[in-house]
Amino acid sequence: MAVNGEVVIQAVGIGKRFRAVTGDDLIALEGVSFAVRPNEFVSIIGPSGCGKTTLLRILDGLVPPDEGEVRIRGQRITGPGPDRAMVFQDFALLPWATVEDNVAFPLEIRGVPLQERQRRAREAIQLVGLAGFEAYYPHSLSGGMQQRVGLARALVVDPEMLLMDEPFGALDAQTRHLLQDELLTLWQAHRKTVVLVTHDMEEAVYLSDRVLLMGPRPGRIAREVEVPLPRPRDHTVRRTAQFAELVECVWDTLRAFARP
Amino acid sequence: MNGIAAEQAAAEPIRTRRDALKRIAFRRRAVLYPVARALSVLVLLLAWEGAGRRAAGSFTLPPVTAVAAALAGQLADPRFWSAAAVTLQALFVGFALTMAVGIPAGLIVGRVPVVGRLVNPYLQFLLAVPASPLVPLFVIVFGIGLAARVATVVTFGVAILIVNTAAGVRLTPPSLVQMAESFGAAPVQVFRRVVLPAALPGIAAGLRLAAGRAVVGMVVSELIIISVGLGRLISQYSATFDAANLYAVVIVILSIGVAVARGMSEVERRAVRWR
Repeated sequence: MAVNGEVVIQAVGIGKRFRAVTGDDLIALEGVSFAVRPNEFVSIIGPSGCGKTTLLRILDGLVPPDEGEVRIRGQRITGPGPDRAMVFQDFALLPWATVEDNVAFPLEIRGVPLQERQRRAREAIQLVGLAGFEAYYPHSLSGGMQQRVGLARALVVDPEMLLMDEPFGALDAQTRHLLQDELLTLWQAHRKTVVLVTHDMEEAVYLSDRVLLMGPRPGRIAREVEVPLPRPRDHTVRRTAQFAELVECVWDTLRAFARP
Repeated sequence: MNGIAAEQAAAEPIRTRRDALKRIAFRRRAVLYPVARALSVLVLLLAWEGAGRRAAGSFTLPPVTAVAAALAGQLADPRFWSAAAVTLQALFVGFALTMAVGIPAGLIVGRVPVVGRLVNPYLQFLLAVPASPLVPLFVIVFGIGLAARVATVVTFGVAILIVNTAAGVRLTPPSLVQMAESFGAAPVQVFRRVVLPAALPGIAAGLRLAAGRAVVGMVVSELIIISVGLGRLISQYSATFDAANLYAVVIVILSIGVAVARGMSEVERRAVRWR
């Protein structure tokens, strides 16, 4: 896929197989190649089971690809790195730790001294609008608030890239819209490079500069849709004809995949 | 950001109603249950006293007042206290050893599948069969000293602690392990910061169950073969048909069991405080 100029994330011919129960190999991903520019917001969308979560894990370095490689600024990655931070679909919060300790967790892992840890954690908590909830435990928070914690935990390490795995998929529609708006505001203020995996077409178009569409098994990038909606955006853009057209364009491709 | 306010507003009516229900439930728990419990104990004691008096002279059921008098006599007797000390020593040493062996073993069994598969048949065996027949074996190996009784206590309790600890470890959500790895946690950090806290409720439940079994082991070792401590008092009083004193010692042993169980429940409550 041709991307001119500077590239921060590059996936080169990524392939991944899983051993199925029958003993046969299940090809989850095949020949997945794409590039992400610095400060670009890219969404990956596709039918469930197309391997998009697996792809994100490979980008993070959690799972090694069977074929191909991931390059970050030209360097092949071999594992998770401090330049990337994940936001998880199921939030993945430590239930025994308070909001503040959850947000400070990555800093604790990296051996940051306690005082700095607390300061940075509180800053990140403030950033996602959770000030005042530092001492709460995850179970006493709503889903939306839990994912704010997940977002703060990713932001606290000030990563260059945010990898988001269906971060709002588990939330109700209103909360999802609220968090999409806030993510947009945050992104427009901080301009991190974001790779967002989602199955929500409107979410992908609303937030992204570019949408990569994945086809069903074996997962591969089937199509790429540029989103030329003006920046900075806000929720009013959802009502424009251009927005509707772009969503329709994504839907046309996905509908074709859904046909048996 | 007003998103939080919106989320909270939506949740408000449900929360107040739930709070009201909680308050009623709390009042019921705080007042009704203790009263009911005290009443049931009182009824039981009265029935016991009545039955005991009717069967006056029988060895099987002395009136509760006679048992209370015997208990008071025991508590004033230094020989009782030295017997209790002998018994408790085996319990405490045995349980300390159970923890020292059971928790690390359980962590390994839960974390390393190969070890789990190897050790599991033995654990199941220890859980399924009564450990009492092993007591004579321990006497042959260790003699009739403290060591044999400690071995009995450990044998009774250690398997359930290992099994529960291992289950706690296996219940660690994989997504949390993955999260930690994603933020660059080394295996040791994953273990200390994720697996261990996740396993804590399992470990605590294991400790509670193991403590109950350890008390049984303590009594069994003294009753079966090694006649010392409170077990010896029981043997003596039953041999001399001294039912009042027999019941008094049994009550002491039951109290030890209840105290240990209570202590362990408290440990468990603290371990899962975040829930």
